[in-house]
Amino acid sequence: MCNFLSRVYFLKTQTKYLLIHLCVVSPIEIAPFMPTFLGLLKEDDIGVKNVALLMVYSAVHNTPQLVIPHLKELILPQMIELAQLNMERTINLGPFKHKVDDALPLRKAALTVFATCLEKCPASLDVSSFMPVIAKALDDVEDIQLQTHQIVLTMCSRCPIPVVGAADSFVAALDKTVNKKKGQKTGTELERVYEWIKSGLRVMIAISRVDGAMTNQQFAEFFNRINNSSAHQFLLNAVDDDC
Amino acid sequence: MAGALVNRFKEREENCRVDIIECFTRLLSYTVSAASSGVLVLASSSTMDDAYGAVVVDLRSNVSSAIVKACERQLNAKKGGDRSKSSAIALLSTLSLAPGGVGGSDQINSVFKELKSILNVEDDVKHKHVTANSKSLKLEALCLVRIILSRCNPHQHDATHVKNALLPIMLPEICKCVNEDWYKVIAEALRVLMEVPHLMVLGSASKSELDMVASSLYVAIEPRLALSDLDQEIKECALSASASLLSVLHASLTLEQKNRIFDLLLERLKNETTRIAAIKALSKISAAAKSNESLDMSPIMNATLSQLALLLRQQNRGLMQTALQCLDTLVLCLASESDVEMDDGLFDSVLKDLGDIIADTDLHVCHLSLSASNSILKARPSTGALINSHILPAALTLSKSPLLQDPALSSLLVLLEELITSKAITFEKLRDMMVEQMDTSNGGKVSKQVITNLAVCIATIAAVATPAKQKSFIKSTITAINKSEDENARSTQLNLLVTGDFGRKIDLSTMGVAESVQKIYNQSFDSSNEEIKHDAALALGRASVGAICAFLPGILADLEKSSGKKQYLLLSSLRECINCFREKESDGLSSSIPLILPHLEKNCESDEEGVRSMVAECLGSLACLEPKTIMPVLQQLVTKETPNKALVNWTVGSAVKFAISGRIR
Repeated sequence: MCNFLSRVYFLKTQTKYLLIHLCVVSPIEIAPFMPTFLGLLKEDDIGVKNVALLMVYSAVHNTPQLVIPHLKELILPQMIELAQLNMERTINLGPFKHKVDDALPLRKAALTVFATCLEKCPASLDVSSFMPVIAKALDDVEDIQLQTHQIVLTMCSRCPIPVVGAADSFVAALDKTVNKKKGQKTGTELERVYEWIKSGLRVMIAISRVDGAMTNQQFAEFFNRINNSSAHQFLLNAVDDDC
Repeated sequence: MAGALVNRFKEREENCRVDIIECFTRLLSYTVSAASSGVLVLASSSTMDDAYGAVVVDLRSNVSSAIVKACERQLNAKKGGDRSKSSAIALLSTLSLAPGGVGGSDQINSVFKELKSILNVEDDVKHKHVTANSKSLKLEALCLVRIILSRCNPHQHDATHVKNALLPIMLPEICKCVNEDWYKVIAEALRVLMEVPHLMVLGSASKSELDMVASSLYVAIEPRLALSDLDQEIKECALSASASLLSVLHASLTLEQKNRIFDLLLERLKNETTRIAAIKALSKISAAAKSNESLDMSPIMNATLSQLALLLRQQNRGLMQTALQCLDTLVLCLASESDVEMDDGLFDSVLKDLGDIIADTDLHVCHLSLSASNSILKARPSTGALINSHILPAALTLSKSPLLQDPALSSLLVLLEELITSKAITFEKLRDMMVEQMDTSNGGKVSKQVITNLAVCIATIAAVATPAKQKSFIKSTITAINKSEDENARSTQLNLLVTGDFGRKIDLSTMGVAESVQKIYNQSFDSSNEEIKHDAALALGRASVGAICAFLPGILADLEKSSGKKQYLLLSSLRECINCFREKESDGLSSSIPLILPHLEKNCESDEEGVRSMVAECLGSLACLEPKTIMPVLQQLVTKETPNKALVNWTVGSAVKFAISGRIR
């Protein structure tokens, strides 16, 4: 045990020295050019949009003051659009048909940017305008759902008011998630479905704890129904244990 | 709002008054913290800057004097309760953190006078009824004094004003407080005394003032340092106070006094509970002694060194680190060889202990130990043989560790360099030893990191060898690469990187080998081994740093005629070259930028994603070096109409991303 601890300590001290310090552009030098570069978000090409989102992410993460002035006009509208972009196409592989969604990375990146903004510059963010996007993302594919669950959890603790306002719009998607059928799945696949449902339950509980959420009739009805449903009891207990 | 609150300070009811003062303190502290955090955001917007400036002026001219006056009224009110006094002190502490501080000499003077009466009055009262409140009030007053003293800088208090106010009014009181009986008051008083010597220097005190202060500090601190049955906090504060006294005001102390403190420090060093504080005190003093001839550490040098070496055998990591740091600075105080009589075998045992702790299990300790060894070698070149036998074997083992990096690596390089320059070992011998490190691990694969590290080590020692040796060294390396066969790809990689790292430090074109080196790199680009290709690209980039005029035109010309993989390799050379300039933070590249840019712009629309992302990294790195030139270019690229708009935009977007994050993959 002692050995293990010293190893952990060692790793911690090692990583501290991994960061190489190199000069970066001072924000003052980039700032005047930001509107042009942010224009890339509006380009048609998906690759460009994706790179532009990564650029915004890196700016929010490293130097939030670069993007804060443009957040409202140039970034947020694009993010809202990109986070809802759907470009599903079917590839015909003879006997099989395969569905590809080219916009999936974009949606993911847009949500990541939103989550980072929430962490770095919540004051400059118009959270409520993003709520419809969140509601939609809660009904998306699995990993986007999980990512969105994390975002909602953060919002519940940091800026609960918009969450309360939008709680009823979340109900349909959450209802679907927590009532996922496990079908014939076993082993790790079953585990995964359970984790997915648990993640949804965690969000439900977090929202219910926010002041005023239970006055929302639709949400309250959903919460009480799940809370009293015998099928959900063992998962609810598991979530409680985690908290 | 603020004015209204200050006016209500004279509220009759004590509870009410305390609340108002506390409320105002809160308001003030928010303003102060908003201002300091606001500075970051403000750098970019000018409108808010003005608003912020207005607040400062306001605070300096009107509010601060009003606050001070109001607080004084609280402090000297006879009937005023302790609680309102204490909250007034808290308010003043907050104020002294604000830009502008408490104010000019008048304010400081009057604040000190009030505080003196607090410290003083209770001295008389003490015998009659000692209340817990009055003690804590005293403590708070001392804290305030310390904060004011520690905030002497151009933005806040003027050091001369504080000094002039401090000497006649406060100093005797503080010294008296050291003899109080509550341990917290004693410790705080010692902390205040710790700030005093530094203040004296800032306030450009006269010689007589310095002497006076030094002797009164000595009289106050010495008994606390000498007694052993005291609270731990007092002991530690006494140690740091004496360190600051000795390192700043040593000229005003008599020899006897200095030796007395040295003896006591040594005694504390031997004690288990106080040793870390003692080591820190000794480090501070030796750092001062290093830059100042008149402070002589020799009386305790021998004993301290052996004591510190003993501590290196302890398992306690924190202790080991502080001991190593102290050792490092202490050794540098050693002047010329004949200056101090050193014990025989002292360095032998110290170096043995230092060698024992060099291992890749703890790189930070390694780094400190290597750097201490280097300092010893520097101070006493005669220890070269001892270093060779005690430190070098461990250092060589370390050099082939795949974990070796950053600070440990750089201190290893410094030590190796010193070994060559002090002629402790010949260049050829050390180089052969380094090369051998590759062979010993023939059984397993040598990792890339190890090859890179060894190459840097060899290049570093070659760079300090004599020019004649350098010439024959680089020639033999080139021959070795030319003759190499496929089975010893590893040593070819090593040799390639050695030429690159060497070329980074020494201009290869002056040795007449630039052309042949560039030829080898070009040949290596056609090698079947991917790693050799990659290392040749890195080496070419690094060698260009030393001789930009010799290599850059070749790189750019080749870039013009090549495509695909080779283009990618040449661009990664370019990136490596730019990044080396970024590491050095030098502007040696600025004149070459006009040459580089057209090629990068052209390749912005390359079909291959790899090439484009390399171009983006180059542009991003260049933007960090020369934002004024590159940012407009990037903007122009985005707005220009070309058939491959999407590709160009992709590249520019990534370039901006790299420029903002500054990271290199």
